[in-house]
Amino acid sequence: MALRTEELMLNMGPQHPSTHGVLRMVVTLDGENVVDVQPDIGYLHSSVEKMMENRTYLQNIALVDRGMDYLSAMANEEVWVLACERLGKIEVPERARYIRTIMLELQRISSHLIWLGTFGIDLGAFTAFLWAMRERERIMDLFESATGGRLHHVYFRIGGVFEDLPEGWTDRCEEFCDYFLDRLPEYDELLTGNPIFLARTQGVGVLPLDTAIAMGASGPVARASGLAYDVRKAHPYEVYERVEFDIPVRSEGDCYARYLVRLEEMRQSVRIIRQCLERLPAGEIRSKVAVTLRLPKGEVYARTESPRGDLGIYLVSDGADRPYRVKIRAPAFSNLYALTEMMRGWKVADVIAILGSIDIVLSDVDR
Amino acid sequence: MSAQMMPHSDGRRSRMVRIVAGMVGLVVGLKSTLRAMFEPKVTVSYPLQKLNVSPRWHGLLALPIDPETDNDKCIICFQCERVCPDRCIHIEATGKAKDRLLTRFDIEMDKCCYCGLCVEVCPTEAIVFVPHYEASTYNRANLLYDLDDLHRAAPKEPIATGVVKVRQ
Amino acid sequence: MPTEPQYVPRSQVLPLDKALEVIDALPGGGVILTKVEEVLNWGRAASIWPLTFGLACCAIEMMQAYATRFDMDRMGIIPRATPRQADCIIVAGRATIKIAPIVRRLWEQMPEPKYVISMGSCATCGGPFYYDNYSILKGIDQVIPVDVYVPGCPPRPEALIEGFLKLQDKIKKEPFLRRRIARAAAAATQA
Repeated sequence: MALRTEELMLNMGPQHPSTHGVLRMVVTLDGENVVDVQPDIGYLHSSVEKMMENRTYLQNIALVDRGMDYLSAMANEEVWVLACERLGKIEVPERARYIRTIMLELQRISSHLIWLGTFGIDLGAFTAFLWAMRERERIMDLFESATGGRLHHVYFRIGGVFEDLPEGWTDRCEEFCDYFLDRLPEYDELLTGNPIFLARTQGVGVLPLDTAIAMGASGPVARASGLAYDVRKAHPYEVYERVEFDIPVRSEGDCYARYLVRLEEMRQSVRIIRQCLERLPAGEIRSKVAVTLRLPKGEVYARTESPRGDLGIYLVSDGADRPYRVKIRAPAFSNLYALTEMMRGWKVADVIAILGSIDIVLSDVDR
Repeated sequence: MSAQMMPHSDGRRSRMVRIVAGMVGLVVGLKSTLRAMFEPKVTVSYPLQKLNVSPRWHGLLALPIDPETDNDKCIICFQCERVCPDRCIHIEATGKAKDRLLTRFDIEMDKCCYCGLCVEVCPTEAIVFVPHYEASTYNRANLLYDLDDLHRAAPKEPIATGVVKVRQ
Repeated sequence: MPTEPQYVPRSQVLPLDKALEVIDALPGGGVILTKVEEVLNWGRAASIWPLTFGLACCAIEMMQAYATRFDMDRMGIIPRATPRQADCIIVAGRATIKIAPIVRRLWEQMPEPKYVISMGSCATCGGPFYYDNYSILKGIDQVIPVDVYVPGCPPRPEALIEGFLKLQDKIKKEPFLRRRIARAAAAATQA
């Protein structure tokens, strides 16, 4: 008589040290093997899309910082401001465009550093967390002196940026670039060559290219599966068409590939920042836009490459001083779709590694 | 599916090779950890040492006193009240035209999101950020700042000075 | 035939309801109790173990406070992953109506004495999500009692540490033993 086993339902979250927020996962187990995963979302649903209809275009800049992906506040501001500028046909001065690009890339590095630290903790490498946070504090200092906020900087405005960079900021930013490139090989020593880390990530959680496309994955998750798509190259905004950078693409599609793609993205970000700092023109930083801005009737879709992937905003205006309808296309939400496909068939210990590798932010998933 | 079921089986490398590789990895990792031990310290012992907060830091809000008129610079234009995304500023005034008198200027600091839009739209720079962030309380009612609190919150001198200055 | 042990209610073994009166009546008894309490409180204040429970943006600043630059381990503040080992819960971020029962359950699972720090505007009163919103709880103090409110959106890591210092002050002043004896006595008389 064959041994009969029953499936076990395991409830992970919402309070779980490795769920990166308040995600609940209902994992169906057959012994050690994962049969099915059902993510239960909505624990951080803050009804941002509805709230945006009741706030003016300027006030919404403060809201998208908090309501959307809080690890990359600048990227949210960028996509909102971009949508408004496209609809209102508002010109942005050249200097403001460069400043925005620098800030966006700094934000990408800081977001990836948080991911690196928490991914390290999930896999038992506490030192990586401490070191990533040490580097991140330097970016926070740069942000604080330029924008006044550490996490939420209401810095971008429709038609430019709020304030010019303070004196000596560009030198400090250059200094940070040098420092950061010096530090990156340390992560190679700590994680990339570490056999324990390799054993837990290499070949784990493979997402094939066709599944990645079918599930709508974007950003580093899709690029690690071999999809060479980046909004910065495909639909350039700000000054991305004028700077040189490469899109890191891996074909393996496992956790290790996602790790390598993000590490390489940080190097490319430093490259972009350096080019922008070199070419930073002098001049105006903000074109004149009324506080109570009224956008013309119409609709627009703006998309940017946030640290998590393809972030889009669909904005409908009926000519009033506040939007008629806003729809946010959140990259983390689409990447979460691919989660079930990635986890099926792996051991229960790999669930955390796979979840950590796709870098979800629950605020972006639930909005 | 069956190949996926056994992700950790590694038939190509012998156990010995893997053990040696693991030890080498450990030594490399420990070496970088050891190197970090002799680097300059990054920790700030907060209550004793304080970081220099940037002048643009979005700290608490205040209405500084103008020494010329011995009053704040508010001209009661209600712009900050209107622009506040959290609607946490409440202003009331009596009188008409130039004789207007500020009777109420409340900021709910617990509702405030420190976005700085009120500071941006103020035409007379009456409302400012102060580089001050230590305001935790036992009682939520203390976080409603009225006119007196906002006058008092304005610093006579910069609060944070020097990168690391040990408090006497 | 062995005699069965007689069940004696605890209230008869330990006349707890009289304990406080007896201690206070003894010469110097009250002073000794207070001194013992002070020593115990000193130990408790220097080892607050919070629960790692991050809800939203403030959790990132909380992580920064645990990490290299601000290093809350200096003050004996060590994050614990389970509520059973925790003394304190930091509500870091906005709480939705969906998560509110879970926060309440986590708080109930923590052993007494327990403390709550409300970090940031959203946890204190809903903050930026106060108006025009159907899903966010207007302040975590509708669900669990809060000891210290830390304003900010999000507060700096230093501000969170200052909140912890305030909590330490509060713990140091608590009549912890007295309250505990009184509560045990009340429970014993009820039983």
